[in-house]
Amino acid sequence: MNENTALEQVGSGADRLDTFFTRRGFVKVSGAFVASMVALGLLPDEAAAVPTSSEGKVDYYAAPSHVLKINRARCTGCQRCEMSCTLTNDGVSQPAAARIHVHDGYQYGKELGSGDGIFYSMEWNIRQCHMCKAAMCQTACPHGAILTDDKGVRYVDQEKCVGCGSCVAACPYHMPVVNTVTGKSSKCIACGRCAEQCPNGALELIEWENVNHSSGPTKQENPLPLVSEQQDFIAGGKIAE
Amino acid sequence: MADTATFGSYGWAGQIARVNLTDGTISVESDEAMQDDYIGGMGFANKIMYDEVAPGTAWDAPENKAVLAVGPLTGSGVPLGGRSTWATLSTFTTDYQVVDCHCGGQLGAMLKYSGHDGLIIEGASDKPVYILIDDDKISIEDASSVWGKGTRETNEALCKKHGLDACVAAIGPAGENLLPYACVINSRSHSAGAGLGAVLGSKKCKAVVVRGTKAVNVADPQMVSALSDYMIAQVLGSNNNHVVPSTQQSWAEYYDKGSRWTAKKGLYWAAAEGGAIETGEPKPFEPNTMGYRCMKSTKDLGPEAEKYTVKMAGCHGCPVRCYAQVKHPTVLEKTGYQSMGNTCVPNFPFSSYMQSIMKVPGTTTEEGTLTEQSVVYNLLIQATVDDLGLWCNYAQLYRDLAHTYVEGILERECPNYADYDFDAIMNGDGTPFIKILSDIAANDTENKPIAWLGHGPMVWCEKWDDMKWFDTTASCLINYRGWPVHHAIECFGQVGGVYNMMFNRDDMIHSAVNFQGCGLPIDLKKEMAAEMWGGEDAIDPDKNYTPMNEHKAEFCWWSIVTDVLHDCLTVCNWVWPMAMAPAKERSYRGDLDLEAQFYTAVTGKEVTIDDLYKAAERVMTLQRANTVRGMTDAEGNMGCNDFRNVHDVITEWPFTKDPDIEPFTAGTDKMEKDDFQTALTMVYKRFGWDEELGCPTKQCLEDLGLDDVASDLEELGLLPDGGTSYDERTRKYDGILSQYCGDNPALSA
Repeated sequence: MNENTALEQVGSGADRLDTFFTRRGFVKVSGAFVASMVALGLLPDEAAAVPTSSEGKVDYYAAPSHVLKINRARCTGCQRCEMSCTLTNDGVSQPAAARIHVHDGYQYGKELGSGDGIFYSMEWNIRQCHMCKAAMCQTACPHGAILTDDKGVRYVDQEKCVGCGSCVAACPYHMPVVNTVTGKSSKCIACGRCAEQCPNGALELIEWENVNHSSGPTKQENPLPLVSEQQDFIAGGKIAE
Repeated sequence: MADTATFGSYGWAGQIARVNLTDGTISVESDEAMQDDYIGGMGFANKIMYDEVAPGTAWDAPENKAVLAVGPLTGSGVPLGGRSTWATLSTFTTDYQVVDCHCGGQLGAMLKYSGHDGLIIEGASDKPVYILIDDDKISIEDASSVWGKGTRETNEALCKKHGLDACVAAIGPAGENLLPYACVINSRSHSAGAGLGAVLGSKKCKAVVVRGTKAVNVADPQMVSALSDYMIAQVLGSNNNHVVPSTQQSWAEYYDKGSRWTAKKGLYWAAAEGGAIETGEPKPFEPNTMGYRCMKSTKDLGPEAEKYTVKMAGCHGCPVRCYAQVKHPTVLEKTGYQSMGNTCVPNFPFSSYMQSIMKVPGTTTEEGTLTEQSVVYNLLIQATVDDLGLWCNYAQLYRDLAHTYVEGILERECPNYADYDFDAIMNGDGTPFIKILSDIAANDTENKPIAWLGHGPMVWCEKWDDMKWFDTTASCLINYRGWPVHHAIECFGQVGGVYNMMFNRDDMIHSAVNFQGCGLPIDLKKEMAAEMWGGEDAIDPDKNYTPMNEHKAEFCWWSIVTDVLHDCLTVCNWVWPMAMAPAKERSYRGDLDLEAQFYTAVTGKEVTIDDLYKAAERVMTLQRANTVRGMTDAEGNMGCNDFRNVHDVITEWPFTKDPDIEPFTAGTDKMEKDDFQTALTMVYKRFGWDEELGCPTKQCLEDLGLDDVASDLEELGLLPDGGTSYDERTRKYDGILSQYCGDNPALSA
């Protein structure tokens, strides 16, 4: 478990920033430092202009307190996490707008040809917010609509969000979702409701650690050829003839 | 609570899509007027079938419709709310009357999230098409590239085109070839049967593809969450709501080897990615182990299946996870398909239905344990039928296949009999099943007469002069109109026997069989029966029955209306209703108010369980009224209300089996003829139907607000007066178990 140190608050999470800060040995952050980062073009203008904590402190790269850890081998695809997420956070059941995603990979995994999903390996990815310390979703938002709460967790200010999708594009995991009904983005706030409702304990809300490489493979090493691109054995196939 | 201006009305999407494949018109219409009286799902679908499909319509005529519908709880977050119901005309039972075809998987939830409570498919296309619903955009698309393909390839090709998150409900070759036993498959292995695939085939409709990104709006989301937590923690059991484990476990007071709560220490998902995962001893009040309770691969396929088990899965929104997920190298080699697994008949077609007739050596050990050979036989058949979109009439296809082989009927009737290589099957190689089942799906009865088996026993028994099969115990055929037992006389005697007569196909009622198999001791179950149905004598121990009584009639009525209710809401009757619970802390009592509490939390409409039971009674009665219009009498005239002598006619074997034992003695589930007629009378009375004929009466229809139906039947001269009034015949269920439900959040709200 990583401690919530100043170094980490300065900003790891996104690998290149992590390396940068470690190499230069920065251990503190200040408003002036953020401003200089902006001047260097490493951060967007809003980083300097907007105090992003609700407390008004300059803690743009705060380490979130919690993160979801997942084990896809235990996931049985019920998608109660998606429904529970939106019931808790939006007051509706709307899996497509959930802050955790199972459904889109359930049938074929990450992509067609991954060898995953119920039609192949019967494994699929649970896609969850990695709670990056340098949150690209936040830095990319042109409206400063992704703020940081007291626990270091980024959340979407529904008033400010215009649903442009910059956060979705910027996130290395494309985790935020622009709700097709409201036109607003949503992202995980580590409330843990999904994990409470997981019947297989495939999700766990833990104190923050780097989960970037802990979620298991995202595809099969040797995926089977697609049935739609080869001889279809059963229906009209060679044995039946 | 989210605002209705943005997210729409609570529970229901509020509209149904209508697609006419003859003229290509597409429209949507409000379903608000149906919501209170018909709920959704089976209720909507049956109301539309009654209103729009004239009696006497042929199942393969463009005038027949296929109506898919879901209910207010579908996709709302309510546990086990992932089901959906279709209604259409039967393709394989006498007079081709209205039937319901249920399925789980992803279809129901996706339809709801697209913003629709239903889809009416009408007319017929002259070229292959599929229907695409992508939120509000509905279109008819060219299906020529997937026509002739299996359901797996179709699913993949259409997901490639429309998104990997789209749900594809497709017919296979069986449906295209208009085989009466064709089904519609979604999500690899979730089947809507009863010939629906042939109906879609007759419309040249290869598939329904649904993508949904919208919301189910919920009036009280906190209550939905709180009720879900309560239900999952202490009320819900395992598959079929079995509430005790199958082996002795330290935490459990009871165990029962028949239970589907099959997790235990030392039993693993052995082929899980990254190493075996133990099912262990999941207990009540452990919501995060719920999904391990039902280890379905070894339960169905035998102990050899453990090493092939990757995990379990199941329908959208259900924490029970009753679907095995297995991969087997031999099956992959033979079929090209890696993933297998089911929870119902396709998981055990050979071992449960064929082996007892065929007696293939090597399929079981001397002690009767299923072997590796049995695993392969079952999975080969499963892979084949699901890809062909071939339904089995609740296993009848398998019994009929085994029987016609053993009796030499296939050899006599099929010129190409040698193609089927039954010798290989008898010698340990199950590969010929692929050829056999593919030929059935091809429906080329002239050149490959084996396909007659896929037209149902109503057809093939007559054609091949084997009507005595209906009266043979091994046939399991329970009604002369062409369907087999679905938890019949072996399930509480008269209770199961009578409800097997009610529909125009096998009943698919699980309310009673869940209670039968839940694993609690009979004395405790009798106490519970007294609370729920008015007397301990509502139930008998297995194979030790007593004559019919009023409480059995109540239990039978309740079994029917709860099943219909769940198919309207739409939630899973394979586990609901919550008549019992695994928690000793609540004396193992269930919670019969949960459907109503969830309904209120989701829709914002205050109801009691009695209101919902009444709506379900309305739907059941409407279907019986529809059958009155279309059923033919002994002279062949359409329009007949004599259910007792024409429709609800149980086959002979329940009365003649076990010839050396008398009915109502220990050791037999044999029925007695006069007693069975009494049972019919008492259940008819409980529904307010004519006690002699078993059809809806004027009083009954008016009590249920079906005055227009009463007028229709009166005009046809098929509406008797009389019938016991609703208030006189109705027992109250509201709060009946509330003394055990102290933790129910709706009671303290």
